Amino acid sequence: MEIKLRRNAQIFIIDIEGDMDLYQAYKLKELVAKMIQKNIVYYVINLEKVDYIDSSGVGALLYVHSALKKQKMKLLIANVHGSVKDVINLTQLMDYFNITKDVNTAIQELKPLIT
Amino acid sequence: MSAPQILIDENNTLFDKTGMFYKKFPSDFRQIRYYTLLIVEKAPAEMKQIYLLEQQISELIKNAVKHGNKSDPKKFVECWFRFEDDMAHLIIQDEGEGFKHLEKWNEFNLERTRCLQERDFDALEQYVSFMSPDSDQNDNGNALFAAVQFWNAGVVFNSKRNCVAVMKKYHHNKPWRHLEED
Amino acid sequence: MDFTAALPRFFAEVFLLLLWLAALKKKWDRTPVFIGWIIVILVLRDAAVLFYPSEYLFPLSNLLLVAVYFIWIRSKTGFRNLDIAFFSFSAAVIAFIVLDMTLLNLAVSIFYIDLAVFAAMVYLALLLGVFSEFTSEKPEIVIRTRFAIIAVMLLYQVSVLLYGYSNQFSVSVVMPASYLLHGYILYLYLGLASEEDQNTLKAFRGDVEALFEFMSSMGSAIAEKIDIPSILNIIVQSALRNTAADAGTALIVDKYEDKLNAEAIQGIYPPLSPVPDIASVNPTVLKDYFRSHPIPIGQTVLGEVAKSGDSLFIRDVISDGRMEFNSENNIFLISSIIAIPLIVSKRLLGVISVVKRAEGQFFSEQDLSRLQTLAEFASVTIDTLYTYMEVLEKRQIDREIGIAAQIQDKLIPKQLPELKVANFAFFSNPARGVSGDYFDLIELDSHKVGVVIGDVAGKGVPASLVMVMIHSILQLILNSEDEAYKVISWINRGITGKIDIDHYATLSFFTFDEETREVVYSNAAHHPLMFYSKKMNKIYRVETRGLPIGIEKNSTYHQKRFTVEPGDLLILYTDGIVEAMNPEGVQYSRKSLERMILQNTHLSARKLMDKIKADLHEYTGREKPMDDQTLVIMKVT
Repeated sequence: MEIKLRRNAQIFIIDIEGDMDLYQAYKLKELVAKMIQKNIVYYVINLEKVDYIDSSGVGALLYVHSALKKQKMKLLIANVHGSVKDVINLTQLMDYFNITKDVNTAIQELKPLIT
Repeated sequence: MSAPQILIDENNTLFDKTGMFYKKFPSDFRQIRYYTLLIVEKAPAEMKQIYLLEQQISELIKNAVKHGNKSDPKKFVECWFRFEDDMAHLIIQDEGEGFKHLEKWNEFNLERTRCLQERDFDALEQYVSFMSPDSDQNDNGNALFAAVQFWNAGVVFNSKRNCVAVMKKYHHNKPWRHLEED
Repeated sequence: MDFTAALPRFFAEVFLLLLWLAALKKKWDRTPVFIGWIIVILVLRDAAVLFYPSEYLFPLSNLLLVAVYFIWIRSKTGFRNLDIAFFSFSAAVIAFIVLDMTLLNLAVSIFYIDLAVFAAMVYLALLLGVFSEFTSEKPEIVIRTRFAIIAVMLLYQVSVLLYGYSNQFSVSVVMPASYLLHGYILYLYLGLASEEDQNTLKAFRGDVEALFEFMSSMGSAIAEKIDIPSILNIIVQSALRNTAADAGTALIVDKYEDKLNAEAIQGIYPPLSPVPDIASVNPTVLKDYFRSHPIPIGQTVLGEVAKSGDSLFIRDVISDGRMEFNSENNIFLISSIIAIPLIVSKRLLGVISVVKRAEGQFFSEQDLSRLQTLAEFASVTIDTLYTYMEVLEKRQIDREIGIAAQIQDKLIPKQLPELKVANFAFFSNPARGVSGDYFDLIELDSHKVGVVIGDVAGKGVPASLVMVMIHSILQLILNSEDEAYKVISWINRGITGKIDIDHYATLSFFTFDEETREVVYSNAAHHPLMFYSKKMNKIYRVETRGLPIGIEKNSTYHQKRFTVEPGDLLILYTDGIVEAMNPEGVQYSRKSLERMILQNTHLSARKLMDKIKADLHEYTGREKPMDDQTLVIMKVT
């Protein structure tokens, strides 16, 4: 699993590629922890190139979601599709996470919140 | 919508091993997805949602390897499995002490389901992760939350709680319901 | 009052009668019945007046007319409790007039009686004034005539109050004019009735056009791409337009569970069962709620439609009472609902439903029949689509298997290496069209061969691709490296790269040098090499430790070296051989294989292979193996 970072003004987009599984998912947690320390407030996690997620991957998303919520930072998850969507559906967390169709929609949603 | 429960029933029909394939694996954490593939490759190619099936099976094996056998390669995980076009049936056994916190988990899941039904996302925060004294920072219990939804024909443990039997039934290949059935 | 004075009234009545007969032919509502009563009262009154010229007959008959109109209006809006007061009042006045005329002879001034009639007329006028088209059936005729009724009625009574019944103007103008009022109502009735005929025709034509339009938009949607959700959206849009509904939805039975998923929604379709409070205040949440909460079959009216296969039409939801949750005046309000199952040859595939969400707004029978036609057509279309998609899916699977088979075909060694001191034999039987077993015999140079066997996890195209990769890497490496454990290390490193597909395999590899008769062997979690030593007449299992390839990039592998003598055998095999089961479920096992070898050590590689093959076949009793079977034999000569 590889993670790439890019920016759109103050919004940071985390592009994940590969499998978010029990061997790799920890990488996301580590990255976000570092970003929180750097006071980055606006996050979009892009799962466009993720075709596989298991409970560890879901756990990583939960961890990131809670951590950001606690800090009153904003997180949107984009491009949830295929078996990733199936797995999140099974845990019934589709409505719990803030999920948008794609990265552009996420950016549009976050823009008005930037102070 | 009531929360599905994990049962403890030594004599459940799901523990009947007739007609099932058998494989035995050393508890090597690194090979969990490999073991899963060895099991899933016996499923019919036309089986629905095969990627999801594979993912769900890997969770069961991970539990057995990591929590049951503490990732000790000297200990084994035994798997019995059987597939049909519309059904998947597995029994996974480890050599561990068993899932001690099963009752707590059932209660926890009940609360979680209640929060979900009422869309009370603030309260849900408390229930997104199930942590027990045996959990480490990579555990969150979500595998089981998903499992009870996925294995719709039952999730049953034996009395010692170190062996779990699960079954998934797919309803029909096409989205039809035959009205005469009612 | 004499006959000649009454003539214009009789003419008016004949005119009314003719109009009335024409109106009877049309069946629009029950207005003709009431006008019929009006005509009867008028005729009786005018006849009675000729023989019994009492002025009292007029207020009496007028009050009766008012009563008939009153009932006419109430037949459309429903009776209210206050009406009892009106009827009691009217009955009392009528009773009084009759008694007065016959028995009492109180000679109460007609003025006061007409005043009472006037009061009744004012009440009727008020009723007409508040008459609402939203709470009554077929209100058009009342709406269109009410001002005329109020005007003529009050004008008439005021003139009677002011001038009495003897005034010339009153008798020759106002009274006949009042008859015309009833004629006017009949005339409008005729107009509305034929307008409805026109509308029905237009509606029918409209239905056909709507169906054609629907069919053509479906046709182009299908031609472009088979996207069931967008096609369902077209269906729901069409349903909404044709029934003037506020919201509609198409629910499809879930493929795996017993529930209905809202695959298409237009407008805001309210949930049909209690939702958590948070949903009831947030419209966005509400909109998504319906979509994200499938309905279990059997629950709510929609689930019942799915369970029974019967259509549902509740014209007035609030009065009906079945849908309590949606009968309150809030965002869950449903005033009228139609739900029709989508059925094809006794198979239910979903439900289509439309709702109206404003108090007093109801669907009509025509809306129901339109939706039924649409539902029938939609069912057939969706059935065809799903069948087509299945065929496509199946073709795709077949194509995949076809591709995988082609790939594998290319990988099968076409030629056995020719060595002076060894001969080879192999067979490989896939279980299900495409094998997960990989093997190869490669000439490394004029006196050295490499033999590889492996079992790729998974199947189909992904597994075949892994095989191609192993094959390619092997070819590449063997150009410069042939130490067994290094070969496997390189293959492992190459496979455990960034690949999307599952890429695990067991692998065994050995090299045999004709000149030195040395075998160098390495293993990645595959079955051990069977080595038969002629000198010792014994079978040894040669193995080295190592993970399957694809698990960890830096896995270490080991090798073993040994020399072979003439008559020795080296055998590599896969799961399918030793795990083959007989009808009792007992595995063939390594023991059987060893036994076969020991019994046939004198045979060539080829003949030995044939024997083992036959034995396996006999043991399992089946032609096609349960699992892929591969066997490679090398005999040292």
